[in-house]
Amino acid sequence: MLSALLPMAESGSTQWLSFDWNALISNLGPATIDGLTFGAIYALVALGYTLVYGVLNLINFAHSEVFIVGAYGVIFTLSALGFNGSPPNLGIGPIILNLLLAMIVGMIASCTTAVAVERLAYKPLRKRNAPRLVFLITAIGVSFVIQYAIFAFHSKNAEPAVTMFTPKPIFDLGGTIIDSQQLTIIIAAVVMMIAVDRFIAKSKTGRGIRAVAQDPATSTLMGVNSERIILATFAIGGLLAGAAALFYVMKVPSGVIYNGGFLLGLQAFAAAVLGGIGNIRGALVGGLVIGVISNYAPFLLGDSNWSQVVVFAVLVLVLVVRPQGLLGQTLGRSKA
Amino acid sequence: MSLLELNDVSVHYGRIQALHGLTFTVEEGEVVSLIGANGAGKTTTMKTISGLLSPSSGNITFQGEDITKVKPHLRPGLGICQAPEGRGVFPGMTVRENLGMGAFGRKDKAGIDEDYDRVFELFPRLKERENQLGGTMSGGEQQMVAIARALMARPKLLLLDEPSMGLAPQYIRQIFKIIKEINAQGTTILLVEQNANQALSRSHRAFVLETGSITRAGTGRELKADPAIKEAYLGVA
Ligand SMILES: Nc1ncnc2c1ncn2[C@@H]1O[C@H](COP(=O)(O)OP(=O)(O)OP(=O)(O)O)[C@@H](O)[C@H]1O
Ligand SMILES: [Mg+2]
Repeated sequence: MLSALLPMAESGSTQWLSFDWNALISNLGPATIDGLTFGAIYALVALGYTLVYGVLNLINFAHSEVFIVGAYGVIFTLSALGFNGSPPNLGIGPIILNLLLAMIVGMIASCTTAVAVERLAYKPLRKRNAPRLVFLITAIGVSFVIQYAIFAFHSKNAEPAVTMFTPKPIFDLGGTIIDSQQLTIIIAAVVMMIAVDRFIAKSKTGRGIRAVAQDPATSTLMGVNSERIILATFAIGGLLAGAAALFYVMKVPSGVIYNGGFLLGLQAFAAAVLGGIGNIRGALVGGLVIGVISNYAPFLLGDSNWSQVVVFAVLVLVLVVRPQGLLGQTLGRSKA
Repeated sequence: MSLLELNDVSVHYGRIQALHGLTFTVEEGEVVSLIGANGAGKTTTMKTISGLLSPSSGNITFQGEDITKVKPHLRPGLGICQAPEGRGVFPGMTVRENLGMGAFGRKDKAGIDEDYDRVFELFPRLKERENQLGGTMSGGEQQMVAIARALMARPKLLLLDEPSMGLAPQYIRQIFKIIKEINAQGTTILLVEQNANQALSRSHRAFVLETGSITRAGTGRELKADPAIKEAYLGVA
């Protein structure tokens, strides 16, 4: 993981910061579309960070493992259904059904993990009024516990890759081909995010989530069961991470490994902060921006190891100018 | 049977005891006020009744039922709703959404709609500002939101913690007028006030709280005439 953050140490080249604009421009279309696809995945995971932060003011570092557990759920289900490294010999209908099933298992796995982490790790701390820092350290600890539980009790290696379907070109956007995989991921993610946005705005649970985020004590006085709301928040974040896990396995078939959530979680967390942590639409915007930027970096700088550096450089620059993130915070209490 | 009874209620913050064996009742239909200096324990008493704090000893009954152990979020459903000190308006929700939060536990849609009409009649200003964000309302307007929101729970007992705090004199008069109106419509009110003069004039009975104990009790008129009260709380030497 460190090597990804220290690209110069590996390449050993002397001209380590030269911009290859031509490479970027000639690949601009595909790099953008693929960036948006990854961005949609980041955005779904970012929502989990943002919702929990909005309600508890807690950065749930274990969310990256909530996500990777979902990815294991997805890949186990697909393997059990007969999927493997080569494209399945199935019609489109059965493929969709199988993928839906895998997604549901992934969502259940992630949701269960998120809810368990909340009940076993965070709730006892809340009962004792633990200081903020204790929650943070616990979150990091839980993240490592889950990673190394997978490492020790399951495997230290990546799961064998699974191919869900062969992407087919769908339409041509001025020379840039958009394929069925990219289209599926972007549309599904955006639809899910709109659904969550509406749910938070309109449903009773959504009103409770916003109320607890803005003023927990007063919410209780109004009859809101804040423990139930907190649990619902973790559950929603988990469901979205599980859905993201299906799309992640679709894009990165060999990426299901015990520490595979780390980097993706970092990107998603960056997306949440970039968009304005606690802000649902911010997570979408932040995810898409991070996805595109991290996809431009390899072309511009000639080495994929630069992606992380560029993502976090942009994050820092944006936060210097707009500390509240691109869209600011709306779920939580800082909105005046 | 009294609507609300506190029997020998003590409350601690960690090791610090804030209430020392408080005993008092509120009868149905009354306006009762609690007056006392800063730090006397008025807010602590209110939070204990609404359940945000638990007594270390003693018990609380409401309509004859022991509610000492009832979770705070279930108390609005029993008929107890508090407008908290410092208003607690949800800043990122519109005025209408804030009011809706008062009815969070209710399912009677028709009754809720009736109550929106009722509170908008009591506070026409809120009707004008229905879609404004709570956080952008003025201090006095937020106080109206907090009272109106508590009314949306259709409480039998309304707890008001310093409804006149930080308000200009004409607002204070208006708030007390509305409190009287709410009471006339059948809601029992327990009121905490620094503004002892107004509070005593407007309540049936009152208690004086000093460092966590009740030191005087009586009708509003009696306490207003009490020389010690005059000196300590009414600013008359
Ligand atoms: N969270 C807390 N932790 C420790 N002590 C507290 C806490 N809240 C209140 N107290 C103490 O309990 C006592 C009673 O406080 P309370 O807020 O009930 O006073 P009050 O009568 O409402 O005062 P005010 O008129 O200033 O609102 C005070 O001495 C206060 O310092
Ligand atoms: Mg007080």
